[in-house]
Amino acid sequence: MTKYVLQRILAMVLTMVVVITLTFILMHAIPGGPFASEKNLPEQIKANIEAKYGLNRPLYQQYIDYWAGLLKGDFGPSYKYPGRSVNDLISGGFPVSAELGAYAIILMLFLGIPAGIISALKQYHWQDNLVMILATLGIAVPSFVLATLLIYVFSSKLGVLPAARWLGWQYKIMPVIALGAYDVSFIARLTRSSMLDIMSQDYIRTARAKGLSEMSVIMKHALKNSLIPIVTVLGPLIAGVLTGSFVIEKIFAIPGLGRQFVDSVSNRDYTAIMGVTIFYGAFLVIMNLIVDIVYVFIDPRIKLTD
Amino acid sequence: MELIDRDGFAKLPKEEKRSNEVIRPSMTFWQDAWRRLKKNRMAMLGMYILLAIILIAIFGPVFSPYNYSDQSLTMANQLPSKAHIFGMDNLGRDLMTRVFYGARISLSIGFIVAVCTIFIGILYGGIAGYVGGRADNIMMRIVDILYIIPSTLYVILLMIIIGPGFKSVIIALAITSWLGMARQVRGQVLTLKEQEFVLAAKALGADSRRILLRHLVPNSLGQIIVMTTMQIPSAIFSEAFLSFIGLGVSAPQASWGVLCNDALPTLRTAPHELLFPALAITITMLAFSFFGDGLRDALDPKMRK
Repeated sequence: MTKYVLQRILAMVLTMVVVITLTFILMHAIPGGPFASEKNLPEQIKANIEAKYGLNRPLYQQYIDYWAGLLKGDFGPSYKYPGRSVNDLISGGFPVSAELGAYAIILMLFLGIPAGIISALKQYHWQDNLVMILATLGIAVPSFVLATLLIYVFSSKLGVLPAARWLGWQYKIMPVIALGAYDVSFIARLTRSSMLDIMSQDYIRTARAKGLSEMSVIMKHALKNSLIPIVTVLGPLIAGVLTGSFVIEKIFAIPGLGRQFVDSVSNRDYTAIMGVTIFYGAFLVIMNLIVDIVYVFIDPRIKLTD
Repeated sequence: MELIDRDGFAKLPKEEKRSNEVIRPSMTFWQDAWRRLKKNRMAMLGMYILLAIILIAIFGPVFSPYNYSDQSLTMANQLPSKAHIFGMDNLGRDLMTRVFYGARISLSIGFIVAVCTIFIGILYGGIAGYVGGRADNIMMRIVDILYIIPSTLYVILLMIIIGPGFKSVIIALAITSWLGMARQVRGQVLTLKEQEFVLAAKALGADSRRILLRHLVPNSLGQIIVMTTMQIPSAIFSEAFLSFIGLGVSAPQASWGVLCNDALPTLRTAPHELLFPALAITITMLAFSFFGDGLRDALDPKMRK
């Protein structure tokens, strides 16, 4: 077990080195450099700016400098907001995004899984049909379409929910639904098929033959085993929530890291793009590590050879 | 012991000697798959809708009386009418023509990206799986590392470097979306190459090329087709997403994602501008998912009856 965890941590470090290097190379491959878009800049001033940010130094030197900063936890200054560092942008935006994402994941777990279970237990009944129709729609409708439809109906027409910003609970309903709809649908479908698969296994028949009540067959034998596949998709789903929030935060004008990232992209704020990409990368790599370790603990079929 | 009376036996008339006959017509794998697909009503519905959308994408803009980029500002944001069934957009362009033209852009991006993905994925995954050993190990570790980071982040970085546009979207999506395909193809090749028919082919003296092209590729074709039907909608989705954050195809060209994005400022007064492109995306996604699911069931040899 320790060996497995150590191996995974080593792989994680390697992944981060690749991510940081790749991001650095990509950002420095942009033709013209970060200040090319600012026209009418006298040569002298441009040279001064570039000297200030160390852009006149050789590329390998800049790479080493960037690493030196990262190891101290410093993502460098923002090019577009003078005086603000990328760290400020991340620490300002991430808590909001994390809150939004956490609600979406809670929605996914507490709505998606029960819906999938009900659907499987009532296969081909109206409950199943209803869940499957909603889940199919939830996967087919892009989140930005759902978000704008929600705004149109609940803000423009009915006027019951605010269309933008992130203040009280009523501001959070629509963004969370729009962000979570895909994941809820996906999890509901996955739970349903996994549950149906488990319910036809021999040990379920054995459990029934022993005379266990249907409730305890479902809760003790079926549910536990049918949730295992869900853990495996948690990693990609968290990643999906993260990138999904780019669009949702933009539409609802939520001051999170996702909108910050999209703004940085349209402002061509290179250090911010680089910093946020690496931050997201690190976040996801750690999440994946946690998911993998949890998976080993809950799935009795996995035996790690030490 | 009692003697059996010879007269108790009679010769069968010729037409009744059918015990050795094959009653069911022999079917190839593809005929069988098609037969099963035809039985699946939702899948067939999905297929017909997709065919209709493809036909609209090809011929819709040609037969439309309007041009997708002609503006008449006096008619901007007009609601649907007899002359303009889907209404007008914010610059007074016929929305129906633009949605049809958007189908062209969105579908071509989906198809081209899928083809590129298949090509890179088969090449990479096929080599890794067939060669095996250390090469496979190194190649798949690289995929593992790249797989963790959501491709959206790299698509965005690539789009910043090569600039927005139709070609850039395809390049950026193709570069980042082959990982899953490579993994699947490798898995397929790994299981297939240990099967008896490959051993038999080897024993008969077939070389690697023949084994790869005549045995491994055709046998994994079903899986590859299913993966393609999943890849196309995901590329269309990604493109819509990129367009929505302002990195997609550039004006006056418009994909469905661009149309949705353009509709935002006037959502309150002219909701039809969002409705029609959004419907187009949703219907296409639904059709692909029904068709893909049906295809997966039809091509799965384990489901063969």
